[in-house]
Amino acid sequence: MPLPPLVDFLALLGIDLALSAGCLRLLAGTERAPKEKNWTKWATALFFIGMWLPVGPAHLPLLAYVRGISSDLSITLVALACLDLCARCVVLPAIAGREKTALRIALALAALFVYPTALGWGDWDSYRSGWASWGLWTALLAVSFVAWFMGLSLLPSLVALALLAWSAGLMESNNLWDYLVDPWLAAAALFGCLKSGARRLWTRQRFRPRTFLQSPH
Amino acid sequence: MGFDAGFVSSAPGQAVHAPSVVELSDGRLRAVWFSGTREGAGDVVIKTSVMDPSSLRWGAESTLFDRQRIQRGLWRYVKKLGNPVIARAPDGSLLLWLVTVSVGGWAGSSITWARSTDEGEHWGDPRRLVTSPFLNISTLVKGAPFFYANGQVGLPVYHELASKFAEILRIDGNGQILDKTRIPGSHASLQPVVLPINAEQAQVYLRSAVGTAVMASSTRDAGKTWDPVRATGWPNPDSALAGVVTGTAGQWLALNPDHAGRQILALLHGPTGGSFEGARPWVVEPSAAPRSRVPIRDFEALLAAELDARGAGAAQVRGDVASAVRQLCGADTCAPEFSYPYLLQGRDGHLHLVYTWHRARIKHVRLDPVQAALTDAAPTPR
Repeated sequence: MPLPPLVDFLALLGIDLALSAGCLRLLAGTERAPKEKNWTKWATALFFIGMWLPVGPAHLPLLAYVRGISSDLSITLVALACLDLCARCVVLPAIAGREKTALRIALALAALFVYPTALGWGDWDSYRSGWASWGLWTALLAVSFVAWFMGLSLLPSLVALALLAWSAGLMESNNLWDYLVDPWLAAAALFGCLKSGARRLWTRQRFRPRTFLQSPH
Repeated sequence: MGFDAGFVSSAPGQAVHAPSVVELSDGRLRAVWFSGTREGAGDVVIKTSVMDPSSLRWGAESTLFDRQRIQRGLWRYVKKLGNPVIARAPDGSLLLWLVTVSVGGWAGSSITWARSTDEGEHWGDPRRLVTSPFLNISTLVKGAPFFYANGQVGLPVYHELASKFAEILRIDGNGQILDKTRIPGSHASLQPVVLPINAEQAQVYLRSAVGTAVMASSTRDAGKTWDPVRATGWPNPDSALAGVVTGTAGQWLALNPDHAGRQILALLHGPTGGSFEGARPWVVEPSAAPRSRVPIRDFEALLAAELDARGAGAAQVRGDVASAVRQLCGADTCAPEFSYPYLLQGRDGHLHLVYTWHRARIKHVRLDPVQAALTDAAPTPR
């Protein structure tokens, strides 16, 4: 099997990292892998390597079949998968809940901005702004500064990483949106926002002080 | 007034569709189309053949791309191929775009492209155009590309998932997308065909997905903005168009000029930058009963007669008739089909039209547009 060009290699590697992070999470559960669950790390490593095995008449790695369905993953998703893998395999502090919430909201808003118009809702296409648009760069800069001043570091770091990868042309796409968000990440962010919104609503309802109507004596 | 006609594809019994054609540096023509056991099958390949203009004979067909090669080049699984469009880039190389599908039907298509620097004999590794943020699916190509004054490529494309609409991609010399413009109001319109008038002005004609009328729009600022799409007076039975602007003989549009069925194929002539309203259709493939289905026996006899007349052997006739019957016939009747036209003007001024002939062969028609534009007589094939 010949070596893939850099762009294809990075795309396959990104898919492998995201799948491996999912695999480890599935095997080890939501808690960080304790020492007695060390086998889960080895199983994940085997999975990571096994996905490069060539199969089928075209002798493509298994990952290439996944890529046919998943398309290329955003830099943001791959970076989050790497962080998750590192947090579980080596001692790294877990991402703070506040950072996660801010990222989830930003990604959900980005998804709501990009996907409906890109799929034909109206004549205006928000995806166009990903091809070297000052408007998108300015918006990203503003969001990153606001996040920074609020004491958040994950969101600006991921935006910086995506911008670096985009300027280096590390993905098949040359549209900045594809570096920032992908449908898998968007679906997870939207689901996460809906879930936490529903949970807040439920908590508020549950702990609301009850008033009893009493009939007059 | 007559025209020359002949078959391009030669492999008998294949399902063939969606041809396009380019002129080579020595004046020969190279046609490309897709061919396999059926549209969308895993064995569909992109075929090519070259025509010698002096004899008007098309050479043996050969395979440009098969699924395995596309998969190896793109480093991903590909389920099916279709709609090859070939053109000469401003730098002299040949460019080929085609649609590839990994999951689902044609609405799951992405555009793949490749370049040849030796007139189409050898092609570089295929690469993918990323045109949509949603898994990069549902952008398809059919119409001929055009070129901006600065050498950038304009590629008319269309979207099919969730809603249909037409767009123009602006691509640089390295195949990178620079921008994409949606044609406003093109919902339920697809397969745009661009007719450039000058550096600033162009018209676009579109297929109607709801089978009403040929749709149209125009730009006056080199494609930065397009007028909202409007219906023309020409009917369109949800079938593809082709168009070309000639140097001295105005502009031409190839279409099925009927409300239903693809049984008549005609050319329309109009002044460059003008309209096709009121044009007299120059019928290339006539039909005695355009909207009615043909009994299978009559359909087989019709096809066999033309194949015989064009010198096909018995095995070729059997194979091609069987292929057409398999694709276009029900239990008792068939719907003859002349579809997916593609137009090109050669350097000698001749107009070349290639199209799908009953889904079994690719056919080529050559005519002199100057004479055709001047005559009112019905054309006859030579």
